Amino acid sequence: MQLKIVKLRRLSGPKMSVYSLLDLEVGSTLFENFLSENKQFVYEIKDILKRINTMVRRTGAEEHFFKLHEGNPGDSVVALFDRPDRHLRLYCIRLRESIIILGGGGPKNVRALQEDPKLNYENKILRLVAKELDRRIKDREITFTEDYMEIEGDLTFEI
Amino acid sequence: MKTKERPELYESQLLDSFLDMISEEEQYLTDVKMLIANKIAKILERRGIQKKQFAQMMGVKPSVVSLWLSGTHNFTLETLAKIEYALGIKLLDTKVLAMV
Repeated sequence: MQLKIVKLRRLSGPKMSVYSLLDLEVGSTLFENFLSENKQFVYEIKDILKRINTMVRRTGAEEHFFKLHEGNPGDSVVALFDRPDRHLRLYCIRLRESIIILGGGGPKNVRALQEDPKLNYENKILRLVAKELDRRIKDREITFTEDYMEIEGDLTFEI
Repeated sequence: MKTKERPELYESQLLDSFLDMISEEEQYLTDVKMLIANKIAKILERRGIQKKQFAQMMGVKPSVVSLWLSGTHNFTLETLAKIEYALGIKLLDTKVLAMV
C-alpha cells in the first residue's frame, strides 16, 4: 500500500493544518473512505467535521479533544474523542497542536474495540505510518516549517 | 537527498458536500461547546490540577471530566455554575447589558 500525505484544503485554517493519507493505488484519501463508508451517519459525520472546524479556526488540536494512546506506546496515534452514545470512531495522527493527519475508522461495534477487524485494520495502518513518520522526523527527512503549521520532506509511505 | 516536498492541496467533493451541510448556527454551537471545554482545560493545566483531582473536587468520575473536556458535552447551567464555583472562574456572562 502506497500512501502520500496530502493537505485537505477546506479543512485547514489559522490554528491547524489538516492532512490525510492519499492511497495512490485507489486515488482517494483514508478520510474520504471513512466518509464514504459511513455516510449513513450524517449527524455524526457533521459533528466530527464541526469539531475539526473549531480546532482549525479557534483552538488547535488540543489533547483533551482526543482519546490519546490509541497506537503503539509513545507514538502519535489518537482517536477523535467519541462519546459512548456515538457510533463512529476516527483515528488520527496528532503531530502537534497545529498539525493532524486524518486516517480512517468505522462504527464501534458491541464487541471490544481490540477485537473489531475493521477498526483494528484502520488503526494498524496509522500505527505503521506513525512509526515511519516518527523516524523520518527524527532523521530530518521530514521537517516542520518555521511556524509549525506545515510539514515538508519525503511524504510517501510504503506500508 | 530528496527535495523537500510540501503536501499537495487535496480537494474532495464528498468532503465538500458534508461541509456544505453545516449551517453557521450549527458551527457556532459546536464552537461554544469546545471553547468552554478548552477554557476549563487551560485553567486546570495552568493551576496544575490533574483530571483525577478535578473529578474528586466535583464529585464525579474521571471519565466524566474527560467527557466535559472533550468539547462534545452539552453542559447544563447547573454543571457550569458548579464548575465556576469550584474553580472560582466565570464561564457564563450574567451581566445585564443595556438593551437596544
